Order: sequence, then structure tokens, then C-alpha cells
Amino acid sequence: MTSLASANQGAAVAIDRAPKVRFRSRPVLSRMPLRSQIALGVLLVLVIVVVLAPVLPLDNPLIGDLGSRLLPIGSVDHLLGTDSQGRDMVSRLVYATRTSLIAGLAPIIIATIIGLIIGTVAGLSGGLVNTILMRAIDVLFAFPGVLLSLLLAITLGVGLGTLILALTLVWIAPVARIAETEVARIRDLDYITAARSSGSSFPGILARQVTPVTLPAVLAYSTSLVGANVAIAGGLGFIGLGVPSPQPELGSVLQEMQTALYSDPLLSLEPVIVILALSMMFPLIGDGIRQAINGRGGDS
Amino acid sequence: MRHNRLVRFISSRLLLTAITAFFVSMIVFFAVRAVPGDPALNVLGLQSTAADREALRKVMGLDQPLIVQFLSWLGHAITGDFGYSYSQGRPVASVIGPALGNTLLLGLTASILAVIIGLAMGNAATSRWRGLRRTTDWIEAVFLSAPQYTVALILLICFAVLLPLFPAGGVSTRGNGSVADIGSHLLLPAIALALAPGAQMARSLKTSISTLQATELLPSLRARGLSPIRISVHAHHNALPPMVTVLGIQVGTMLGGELFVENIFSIPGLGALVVQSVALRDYTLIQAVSLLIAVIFIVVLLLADLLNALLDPRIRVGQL
Repeated sequence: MTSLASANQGAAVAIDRAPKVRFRSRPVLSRMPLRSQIALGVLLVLVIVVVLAPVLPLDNPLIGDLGSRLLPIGSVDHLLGTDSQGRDMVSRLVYATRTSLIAGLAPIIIATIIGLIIGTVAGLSGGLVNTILMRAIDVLFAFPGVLLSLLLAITLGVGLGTLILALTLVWIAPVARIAETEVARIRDLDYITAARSSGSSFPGILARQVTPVTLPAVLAYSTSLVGANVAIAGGLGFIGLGVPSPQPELGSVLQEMQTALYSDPLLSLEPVIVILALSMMFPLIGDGIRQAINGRGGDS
Repeated sequence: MRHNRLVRFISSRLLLTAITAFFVSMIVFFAVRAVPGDPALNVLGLQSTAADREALRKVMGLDQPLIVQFLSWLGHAITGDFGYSYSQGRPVASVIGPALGNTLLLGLTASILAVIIGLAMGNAATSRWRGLRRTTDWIEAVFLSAPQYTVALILLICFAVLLPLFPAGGVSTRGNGSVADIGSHLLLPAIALALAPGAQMARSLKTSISTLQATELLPSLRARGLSPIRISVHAHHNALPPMVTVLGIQVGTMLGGELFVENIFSIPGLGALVVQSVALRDYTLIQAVSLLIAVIFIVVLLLADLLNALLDPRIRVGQL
């Protein structure tokens, strides 16, 4: 009896060493490392604040008091100061974050859907279709991403809609490549061959056998991309190719606050910190999802 | 036989690079040409007469079919003739020359810094001390995802505004072209550009070293009495090819980052030139500079591939 118990204990320890087994049963959230959970929590709070912005007691982000321009951080009524037109920075930043989150998330969501389709079709087809699609993708990779987004932003003109479209086009290629790699890994596995030989159609295999396996990894990757995308959107706003003023967007707010660079450096640092936080949050969450899928506690 | 394979490897890479460059130039040309509006109107302004605009359109070749325009533009670009910049009032080539020099100087400085950061962090991440590994992990996560322009602004505010240790902009002080002076101007922007590439290289080095640590190579070298330094050289030699690939790809990130960082530090390079020409709607200049940036990236990728072939014989004989 005791020997059996100790044997059981031994088995338990062995399972403990193979986290895959132990972690399977726990929900995704608890399988994430702490820093990813924190990032997810901060993001949730941000989203709530940003969604509720119209009903929160915030000043109008577009209309300022010209008598109180560039007030420092900690002013009465303006906790984070005001910008060069006397507009409240808390309100500016909240509304800017709202625009930036839309410009950050929407392109990635659309690009993930399109990229996933291109990548899985290319990966599963193989042969000529694969070569053509992936070579086309490779050409897009020959561009520094920022440059490609800048060219597209010029072509499509300024505005939130066109910005989203331009950024979508930029991110299709990276998502497609990851999806293709994931599919290529499983393409020749027995269960796919079995599905094929049992008469499943191409779309059927794509939907039932391939996508469920590739989706989690692609989603983890896409989540990380949101950070880079927020950064690029902000950069485009910074050089005047983002959402046109007066609508606040983090990049254009960053640009406007450059006027305070020497008079009040800390004030001009505010939008920088928000962009930095947003760009770092998503990779942390993406990493967390990846680790949760892989069932590993260590580094990815 | 072996010689033959190397030639074939190099020529196939060259061909692939040429094809990629062709398509890239196509994207640059047509993306900019697709901008709504009349280029002639842009140059001459709203007060111009229709006849004037028509005449300029002829001069610019805009009356030709698009494909002819593209091939003629590409043909001229290959010979170094990028047309005339209306916003600068000079041929594009003479505008690009000095800017290219500044960008390459900044890019090279950043690349060297990135390699140093990569080596330091990669070794720290595989060190024996758990605390150091943990700290490096966190720093790596920060470096990897911090946008270059935010780092640039933070560095600018901390070390040029609040603590004026470094100059806030430019490449050199007027009348002083010494290495130390240029170095102090380029250090902050170079750090801003080097953090993410450095962290990526550290990641690659970390993977290589920990893979190596799982094998018996290192203990066997130790058993043969090699000094720790010699062992470390062996370990790094194996890690080199993936690091070179990562650096090549990361040059793209740096080139992209230069668009913003050069602007922040007022460095008159290609990135600042793109942004400037966007503001002035000088499409000839945008096309030329974008093409140049993209081609630099493609050439760097090619060089990284060729360097890897020299470093790792398995790559050139096609076993990998």
C-alpha cells in the first residue's frame, strides 16, 4: 500500500515535470505568467476607461482655455497639465488612447483574418500556389514595415479609415507567413492524410483539421503585433500622416507636445509613456498566450 | 565541385535579390503614382494655367502610359538619375547624396551598438546566476517592444534636456568634425535604434547557447583543458550565423526607425528626408528615397546571406 502510494507520488512528480499534462486542465488565463496577467489587467482597465470616456467627468478634448496653456503636471483641475492650446491632458490622452487603440486593433484583426486565409491556403495547397503566394509575401517583407505603411498612408490619404486600411495591408504578410509555417508543420501528418483520403474537401480540411491547430499560435502572434502596430500608427501620426487634427491620436498628441520639450519636458513625456505602455502591453499578452498554449512556464 | 556549389549559391541569391528589387521598385512607383491629385498641380500650385500644367506634364512624362513611365523611371534610377526635386530646386541625386551618408553613419553606429548589446545580454541571459537571467529577461522584453521613437524622446529628454550631457540634435557641431564630436551627437539616436535589434540578437544568442549547453560539446572542451575564454569563443562561433541573419533583418527595423528618430534628433538623413518630402508633397523625392531605403535593406539581407555562407559551410552546400 505504502509502496503504491509512493509510486503514485513518483508519478505525480513526473507529471509535475511535464507541465503539458498538468496545465491542460487549467484555464488559459491562469496558465499565463504573472506579467502577462498584469498587462491584460491594465489593458482591460484602459479599454473600460476609453469606452466610458463620453460619460466620465472629463473636459472637452477639443476645446481648450487659451488662458491656461501648457500648465504643468499637478495643476488644480488639470492633473496632467494642459497642452499648447489649453486643453486638458487627461482628456486628450484618454481620447487619443481611444483612437490609437482602434487604429492599433482594427488592422490587426482584419489582417489576421486575411493573412490566416492566405497562409493556410498556401500551406495546405503546397506546390505552385504556395510558391506564388509566398513569393508575393516575400516581396512585402523586403520593405521596412514603417516605410511600407508610410507609402500606403500617402497613397490612401489621411483619415482613420484609410490609416486602418494602410496598416491592414502592412500586417497581412507577417500573419500569412506565420500561418503558412504552422500549416507546413502539420500538412503531412497522418490525420490530414486520413481526412484527405476519406474524401474531405479542401475547404473542409481547412476548417476542421487545419484551422483549429494553427489558430492559437497565429492569435498569439497577432496579439503581439498589436503593440508594433500601435507604435507605427503613432509614428505616422507623429509625422502628420495619421488621423487629422483636431481629433486626438497618440502620435499627433506626441507631435503637439514637442512644443513643451524645453519649457516642460515632463509634460511632453506624457504621450510618450502612454504609447510605450500600449506597445509593451500587447507583446506581453501575446507571449502569455503563447506560453499558455505551449504549456510551458519558462521562456518561449 | 565545392567551388561550383558556392558559385551557384551566390548567383541564385543575386538573381533572387534582383527580382525582389524589381518588384519593390514597382510597389514604390505605383504606390506614389496612385496618390490622388495632379502632380503638375502640386508643383505649379493653384494659380497655374491649364496650359502650363499640360506643358509640365509633358516634361515630367506624365502623358505616357504608366508602364512606360515606370520603366523609364526605373531605367534612370539604376543609372543614378532620380529626376528633379521641385521642393528642393535641385536634382534628387544631389539631395540624396549627403543624406545617404548620414543615414549610413547612424545605421552603422547603431548596428555596432546592437551587436554589443546582443552579446552582453545574450551572455547575461545564459549566465549561471538566476537573478541576472531574470533581470535580463525583463530588460529584453522592454527593449523588444519599446518603439524606437519613444526611446529616442525619453533619451532626448533625460540626457539632452534635463541633464544636458549630449547635444540635442544634428550630426556634428558646426566647424567641429572630430570623431568625438560626431560620436556624442550620434550616441543617443544610435542607442534608440539599437535596443530592439540588440535584444533580438540576444534572443538568438541565448537560444544558440542554451541549445549548445544541452550537448556535450562544452564539457568535452572543458575536459580537454581549454581555457574558459577559448570555450566561449567556440560557443559564440556556433551562434554567429543566426545572429547575422537576425542583424540583417533588424537593419530593416533600424531603417524604419530612422524615419522618426532622425526627425527627433534633427539628423539630416534619408529618414528625415522622407518625412520632409511627405510634408512638402514632393513625390519624386519620396519615390527616390523610399526606393533607396528599400534597396539598402535588400542589399543588407543579401550580404547577411553571403556572410552566413562563409561562416557556416553547411549553408552553402545546401544541407540546411
